Amino acid sequence: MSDAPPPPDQAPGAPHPRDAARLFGQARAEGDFLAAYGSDRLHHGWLLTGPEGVGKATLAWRIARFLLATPPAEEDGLFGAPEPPATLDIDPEHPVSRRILAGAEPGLTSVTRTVNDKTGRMPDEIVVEDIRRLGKFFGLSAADGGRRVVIVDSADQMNTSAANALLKMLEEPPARTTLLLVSHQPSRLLPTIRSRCRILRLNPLGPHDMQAALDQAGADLPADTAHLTALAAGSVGAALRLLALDGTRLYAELIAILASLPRLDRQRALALAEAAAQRNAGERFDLLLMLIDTALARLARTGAAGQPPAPEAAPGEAEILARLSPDPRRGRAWAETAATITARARHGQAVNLDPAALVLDTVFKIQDTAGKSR
Amino acid sequence: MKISIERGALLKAVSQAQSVVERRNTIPILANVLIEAEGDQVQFRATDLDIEVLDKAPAQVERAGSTTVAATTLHEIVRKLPDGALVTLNADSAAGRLTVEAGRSNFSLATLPKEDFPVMASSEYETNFTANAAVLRRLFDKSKFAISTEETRYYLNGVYMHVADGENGKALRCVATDGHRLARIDAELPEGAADMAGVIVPRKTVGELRKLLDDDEMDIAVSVSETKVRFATPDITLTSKVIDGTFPDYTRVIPQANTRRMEVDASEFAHAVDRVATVSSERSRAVKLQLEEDRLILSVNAPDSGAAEEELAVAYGDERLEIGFNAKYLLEIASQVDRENAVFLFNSSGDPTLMREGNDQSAVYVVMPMRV
Repeated sequence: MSDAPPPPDQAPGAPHPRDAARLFGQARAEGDFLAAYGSDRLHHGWLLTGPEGVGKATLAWRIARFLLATPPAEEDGLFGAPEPPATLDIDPEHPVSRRILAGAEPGLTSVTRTVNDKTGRMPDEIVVEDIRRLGKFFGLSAADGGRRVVIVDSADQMNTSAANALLKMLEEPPARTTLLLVSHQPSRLLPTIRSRCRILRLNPLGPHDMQAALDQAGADLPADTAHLTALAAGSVGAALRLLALDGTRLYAELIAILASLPRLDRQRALALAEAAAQRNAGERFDLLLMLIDTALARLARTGAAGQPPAPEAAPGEAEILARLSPDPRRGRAWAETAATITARARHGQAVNLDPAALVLDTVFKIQDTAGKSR
Repeated sequence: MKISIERGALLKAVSQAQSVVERRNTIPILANVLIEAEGDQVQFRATDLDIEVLDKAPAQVERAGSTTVAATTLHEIVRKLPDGALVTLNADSAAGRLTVEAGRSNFSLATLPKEDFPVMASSEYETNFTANAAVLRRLFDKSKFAISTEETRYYLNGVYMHVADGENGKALRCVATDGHRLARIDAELPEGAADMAGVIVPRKTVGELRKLLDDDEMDIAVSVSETKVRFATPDITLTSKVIDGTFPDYTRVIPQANTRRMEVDASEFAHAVDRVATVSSERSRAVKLQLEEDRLILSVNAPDSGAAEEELAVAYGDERLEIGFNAKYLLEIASQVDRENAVFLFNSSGDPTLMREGNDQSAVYVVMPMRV
């Protein structure tokens, strides 16, 4: 494989969503879409929501393949209307499937972040030029079959001007056009965009579907997947990311540091901070911040529920969580800390703070909370 | 697939096909040309998803078949081969390679499966007619300068080809405009074109089409549907999507009652405009036209850099008029005139001006004035 970074709509360690032949655990969402398709009044804007990594993009590509490969139903023929399709599955050897895989389907276009021509860098957001490119796609007549599908992955990354540009197209798309918007946090989208889309909610996967999806992704699973599954919380994408970056061990390390509270094991915390600060450790650093957030969330839940969430995500986690967050009051304190830390981490990243300092600061803040709550 | 083909024929076919391939393209299959060999000919097909070019060339087909290979690489190889060489293309589908052999040169190129290649379905065309290459060339050449580049008005990003009422009955008409100037070119209506639905031919297609129209004797088969347009010579077929929009009602903006008539030698006029515009470096250089009896004074006044003035003898018999235009627009419309004098019809300094060649109504240009 090449050293090029994965495209912006591909999760690290996971195959590209257009490559996934099957989608697991989202039968309800698929059913909802098929029902809408069968009802002959297909809405043109769909917002696919749900946690990151549960298969929203995979579903979007499946819908695109389905729409482009299914010829428009004939008006009631001699034998009445044909049976509405019962599945989104399309033969991978179907010309449309082949072309979509090769990126050469004229009826489909996908909007992602693109490398800025001037700086040569990948920006954090989808900019208005990326959306305006759709103008050309919509400006020319549709290819054979007449359907056009647009996938926006992810809609959350659109900045305000991009969102406003898209709004115009959501309002009056050309005939037989379907826009599929992938969104992890629909609440952060413009309300005007939300209100023009039909929402298709995708839920976290159960353990069985999770296993099947990980197998399809070709994941190299460890013997014991219990901790991984607990940490991934039903998100295949998260599981793959944890696998690729050895996240379960990182989390176990984090829990071990928490275990030493309220007298912080400074050696260990320092080692953790330094590992995060290494060159080219950007991905690991992001993962660490996410895991800290997960740990704090689990602490807060332990306090609120009076018992640690099961199953545990690291060896001895339950006991440590129960000790640090024994009652709802402390649960609340942890939740507040989580909010502050997230805000601080985001700010720190925005101003390019040294990752090691940021991690240490976070750990001290946690220690602070642990000390107070005693 | 295994074929032998003369280098010249191969180069011609491949270079026409590869010109449509987008240079900054990131999708591997779209950088490829689809080669299909059958009977005694080979076809080369390339596309950018909006336009497809299909080129046929005679070849000795030893084994029929098809494959796809990088268009620019193949083109470069063939271009560098000595003239008159016999080139053998041999596709090994198991190894996923295409070998190109000529004399002592031997190349092995990576291929991609032909199933991945998007072929534009030859959908049903509602109108089919034949037009002479020279006729089509005039229609598009004289109108394309006015095509808009503004993406927000995408329906102006092409030439509107349709059937309209010309001075001698129905005519095949091409119109292009960017809102500042407009070109309306008519040609005799070819047989079978009367029911054609109007289509807006995109700018890139107009550019590609031009390459088919060099031979005056050639007849071009034109096919039009609501979503596609196709131009075909015996060797080359160019299929393109059309612009999905409604061309504005241009007839409203063509002035009918402009009475102040100025006649001038087009090339003298163009040279004079070009000269006086030199002093102003702004992009929208305004040239002022002062008209008196049989006299035209062209002037540019750029406060920062200087001023210029030039006088021309023209035929003009109306009252005095001062009017300003963008120099570039004037140059472009003046350069469309090639046989007779340019005739300008003015109304007032604020109204659109009409220009045509002599009394020829089959090519009419409109340009908006600028305030000077």
